[in-house]
Amino acid sequence: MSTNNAAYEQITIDEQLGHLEYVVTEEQLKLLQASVEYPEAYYPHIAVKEYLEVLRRKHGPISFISAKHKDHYYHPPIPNKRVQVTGWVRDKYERRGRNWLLVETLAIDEDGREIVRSEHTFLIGGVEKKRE
Amino acid sequence: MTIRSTELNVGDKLPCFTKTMTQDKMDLFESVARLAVEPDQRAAPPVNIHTDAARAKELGLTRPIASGQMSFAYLNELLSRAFGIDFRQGGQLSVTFLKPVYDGDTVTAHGVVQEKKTINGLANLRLQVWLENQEAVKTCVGEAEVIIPSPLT
Repeated sequence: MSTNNAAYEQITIDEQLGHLEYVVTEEQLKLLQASVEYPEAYYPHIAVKEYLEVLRRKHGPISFISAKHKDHYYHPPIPNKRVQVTGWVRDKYERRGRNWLLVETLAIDEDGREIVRSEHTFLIGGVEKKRE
Repeated sequence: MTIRSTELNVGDKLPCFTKTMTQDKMDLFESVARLAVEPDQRAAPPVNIHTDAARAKELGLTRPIASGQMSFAYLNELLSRAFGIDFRQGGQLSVTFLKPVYDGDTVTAHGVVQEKKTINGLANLRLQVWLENQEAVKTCVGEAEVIIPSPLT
């Protein structure tokens, strides 16, 4: 997957991925809760995939699969309040012949309340046939 | 109903529950999984390995797979049901995705207390959590930590 590798090689550890801002509406929260069939799901998945888009725009095409995710919860987002997410590349490494990328994000609302700190590990490229 | 920390000991299991995955749920989840995009972009249905067979095949999958974030949400539910606000405000959850979950699969959420300590008068619990599919195969495994009562509540 040369296109993936070319983009991946350009990514640097500690690379800042900028700020993303958005508002979680009550309607979005209800849709999330419906999709996972749990009316008390209060934490939408904050800006995980958006940062892959940031990396794609910056470095070129990257295909990936989620390998690991970690959340540390502080306060659920309050509907209709603005949320700012800061993201950066925490690590990149090769293991078992595959490339991996660790992106860390911190979400804070407009009043300065910490919402969630997340770490997301991506496996770059597709799955190996033997895993299917 | 939340559990009091005094009721739990090492080896105790959390109440299990089962979910059935459907493509409709995967599509709906994906539609709300991109909160930071512009509203006009959000209107278009997302096309990715979770919603589109062709995109899934490009990455070597036989058909769309459910987002790992859905599995993560189920384990979040397991812990939220058990510990309520103590988990939602201060809890930690780390999950490794092992096997794909497809449309039609059922997954059951499991949790067991692995360690219990009292620090400064607060119960610190560490739990192993996982999802198991209809063939009793673990699709993801993880670890959670919760302090009861949470210092953030």
